[in-house]
Parts: sequence; C-alpha cells; structure tokens
Amino acid sequence: MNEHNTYELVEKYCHGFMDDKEKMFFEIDMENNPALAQLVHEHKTLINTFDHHNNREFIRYSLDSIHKHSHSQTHLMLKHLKLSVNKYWRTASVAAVVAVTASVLTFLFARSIYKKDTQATYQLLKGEINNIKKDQRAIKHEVDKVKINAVPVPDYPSKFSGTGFAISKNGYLVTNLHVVDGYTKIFTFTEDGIGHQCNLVVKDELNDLAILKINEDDFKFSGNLPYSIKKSNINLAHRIYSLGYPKNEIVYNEGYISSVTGFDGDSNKFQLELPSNPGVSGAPIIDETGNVLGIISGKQSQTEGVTFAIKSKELINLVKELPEDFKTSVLQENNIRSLNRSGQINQIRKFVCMVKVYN
Amino acid sequence: MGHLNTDNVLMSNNSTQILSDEQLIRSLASGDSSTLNYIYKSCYPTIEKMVFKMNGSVDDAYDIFQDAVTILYEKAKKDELHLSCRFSTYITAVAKHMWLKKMSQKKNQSFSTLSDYLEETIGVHDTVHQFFEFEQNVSKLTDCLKQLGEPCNTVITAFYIHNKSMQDIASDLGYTNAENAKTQKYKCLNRLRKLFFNEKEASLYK
Repeated sequence: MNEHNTYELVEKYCHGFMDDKEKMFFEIDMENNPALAQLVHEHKTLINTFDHHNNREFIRYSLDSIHKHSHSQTHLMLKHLKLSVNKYWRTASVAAVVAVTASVLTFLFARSIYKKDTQATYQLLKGEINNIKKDQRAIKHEVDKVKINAVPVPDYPSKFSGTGFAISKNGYLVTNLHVVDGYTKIFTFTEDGIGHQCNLVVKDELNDLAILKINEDDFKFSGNLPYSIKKSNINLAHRIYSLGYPKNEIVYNEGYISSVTGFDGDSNKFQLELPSNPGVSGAPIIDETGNVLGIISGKQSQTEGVTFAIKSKELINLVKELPEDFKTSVLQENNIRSLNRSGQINQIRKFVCMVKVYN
Repeated sequence: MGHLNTDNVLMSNNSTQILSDEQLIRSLASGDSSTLNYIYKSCYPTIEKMVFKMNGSVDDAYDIFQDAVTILYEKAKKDELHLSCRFSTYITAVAKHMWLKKMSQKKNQSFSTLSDYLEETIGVHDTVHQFFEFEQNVSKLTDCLKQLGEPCNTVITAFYIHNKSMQDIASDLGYTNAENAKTQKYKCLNRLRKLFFNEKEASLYK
C-alpha cells in the first residue's frame, strides 16, 4: 500500500464515503495497524481544523455584511457623542459659560433683592418717622393757629436769657428782675420748646424779683405744681439742688447751703455751694423734700461755685400783690415729698422754663 | 424586543415567518443568511451591552458575537445543538463565557472561578473550551501552511479551504491530469500533517 493509496482510503473513510463493508474492513485494518489509526486520527484533526476555519470564515463573512449595514446602538451613541463634541463644542462651551453666568447673576440678583427688601423696610420705618414728623408739624401748625392772638417768637437772637419757674397752673412765673427789666418782648419757653409771650405783672426791685404771666387765655401747665414754696428755715449744710437753663436744655445741679446770708451779709439772700452759669438766674433752689427754698440771683465773680439765692419768703411777700386769679394756697401743696430725686425732677422740670428777652 | 422572546420573527422575502428555536437551529445549520440576519438583530444588541458593561469595546463585542455564532453554527451543523434554554439565552451565555475567558487569558487568571451556575447548567464550558482549542489549531495550521511553501500551500488551500475540485486545481496549477494533482496533494498533506503534529508535540514540551 503506497502513500497515495493509503491517503485516499483515509480520506474516503474520514469523509464517510465508504460503504458499510468497506468501512468494516478499514476499521479492522486500523485495529491491526496502530500507525494507520494514528494517521486517521491526525487526518481527522486536520480536516476538523480546516472545517472550523471554513465555518468561522463563513460566519464572519456573513455577519460582516450584516454588521456593516446596521450600526450598533452603542456605537451610534458613542459616535454621536463624539460628533456632538466635535461639532458643538463651541456652542456647548458658550452654553456652559451662559449657564454659569446665569447662575452667578441669579445668585447676585437674589441677594440684591434680599438686601433691597431689608433696605425697603428700613426706609419705610424712616418714612414713618418722617410722617410722624409731618403730622407733628401739622399739629403744631394747628396749635399755632389757635394761638393766633399770641405774639410770635421773634426770629432773631434774644438779648438775654434766664430761668423761670411756675408758681401757678395758669401761667404765673417767677424770675429775676434783672433778666427782664427794661424789656417788653419777654418770652418763656416751656420744656416742650414752645415759646409763650409774657407780661411783667409785678416786680421787686430791692430783691431782684419779677413775676411774669403768660399772655395766653387758655394756657395751663400740665398738672398741679409739684413743689411747695414756703417760708422755711435756712439751715447750714442743707443739701439742695436746682434746675436751670444755662443752655437750651435743662440742666440739673446740686450742692448745699454754705451760708445763711448772701453777699456781704445780705439777710434777704443766702449763699450756696453750687456750680452756676449765666442763664440760671431765676432758677429754683429746692431741698430734698421738694420745697423751694429760694431763687438763684447771682454768683460771686472771683470764686467759682459760690452762688447766691433770694430767700423764698421774699417771693411769698411779692405774690400777695398778684391779681385775684392767683391763689396763694397752691404754694403750700407738695406732691413730690415722697419721691426720690429723679422722680421729683421728672415732675419739676415741666414747670421750669427758659426766659428770653428780645429787643 | 419583548414580544420576540416568545416567538422568533424571521424577515425573509418580505414575509414574516415565526420560527421556533428548533426551526431557527435548523435554518442556522444550513447557513441561511436571513437567519444570521435575524440572530444579529435579536441577539447582538444584548451581547454588545453586556460586553460593554464588562469593560469591553464595541469591537470586542462584535468579535465575541461572531465567535458565539460560529460555535452555534458548527454545533447546529453537526446536529449537536440541543438547547435546554432559549436560543437567545444560550448564545448570550456562550458570549459571556467567552468574554470572561478572554479576559482571564489576558490577565493570566484561572477561569474556573468565573463561570456561574447558569453557564454550568447549560454546558457552555465544554463548548467554549472546544472552540478555543479549534482556534488554536487554526492559527497553528495557518502557520504550517506558510511553512509548507509553494505549490503545497496553494494546493491545500484550494482543496480544503476553497473547496475546489482536483480537476480545477490541476488545470490552475498546470498539472497534466487530476491524478498527478492528487498525488501532489497527498504529498503536501503528509508534510503538513508531520509539520502540524510535530510542532504540536514540540510546543507541548516547551
């Protein structure tokens, strides 16, 4: 059996071209000849490998034609993404910039709105205050209209100014004569800053006292006189205080009685250790129980802190000359005896006025 | 794709045929192009997604799909494809198994731990293993054919790959008759066989 014939038989056997009888003999040959069996096995492997190769190539070829014509979804997606990035990166970057800018602007805008809100509230508050001011002005205007008969406060600066305090509810005040002497345009300014034209009713040139009357028919101090004005003993070291107008605001001062007589042994006056400034002339000297002991009249020029006051008994003598609409009895009443100092002052300050005279 | 899971719809000659898995396997065995088209349409997207999820590229997915279809085609041809599950499930399992095996080969890992219950149940492992063996043989055969030189390469390729008759081969290569060509073929085949199995043995002892 030459090589050619053997191979022919092997091939015939492997491809199943033998008939049953031929196949049977060949298999017997294979059993007897291991070399032949090996050859058959090896040939089969080769043929199978060729088959596999052919099958694989067939499937690949067939599928390639299908695959080429249908783009995979994933591939499409990726391709589209790439395309989009390539094609639209300019647009995309512009869009991104716009988006970022928009968000930043929105943030700032929202913040400014929030700020505006608080500002608006604040302004509203201010506005309310302005409205209140306006209303007040209107009311003041109305009040001024009522006092149409009252002489208006001059718009030029006053010549002198001093202090006065009420001795009745209906507008009698006492001050120093030297503050008002020789002037007809006398104005008192109550604590609320409203000026009232006054007339000099009585004066005591010896004791430097003057009693004024606010020239308004309907004028009334709010409430009764808090302090009493009595003849009382002047005791050394008695603690006193005073309220006056050395400036446009009321000023409180306190001290003590340093001498029972005034300058150069003046028995109508007494001496105080109390700081005083120009403008406090006519201010009341009040003791701790709310009793008016005297009226400041002046100070010793060389020494600081030494003040002289007119004894209240001189005032009491003077009020006797007042008309019938003044009741002396009110001077005896004291509503602030039991109050502490600031409580007393809160009551008293409404009855202490600034007195100004104009040319 | 939902309704297609119960019945396979095959588009051919503008008419829609509904195929059972058995019919599908039979028409696959015949190498029908419309059947391959159907398998591509119904099974490839799933496999592509799967490979893509498992860190593979689109090209990897297509390679794996081709190999899986090849396996099924060969088994169908040999009438060895008897499914205990749906066709689409089987091909997906095969593809997954192949991809995992390829990955483990790349990373030089043992593969046994990677196969899951489903793949073992439907017996994918042996099928895939056989395929990889065939693949190794094919690349070896290709190398051997190159070493064989002319005219053996042409004769063997023409006969075993291009399925040409000995008559055609004889006239193409200028042999006087088919019998001469046949003798030449057997000589070449013998050389190829020796080359192939010697090389295989040699590589075994490397």
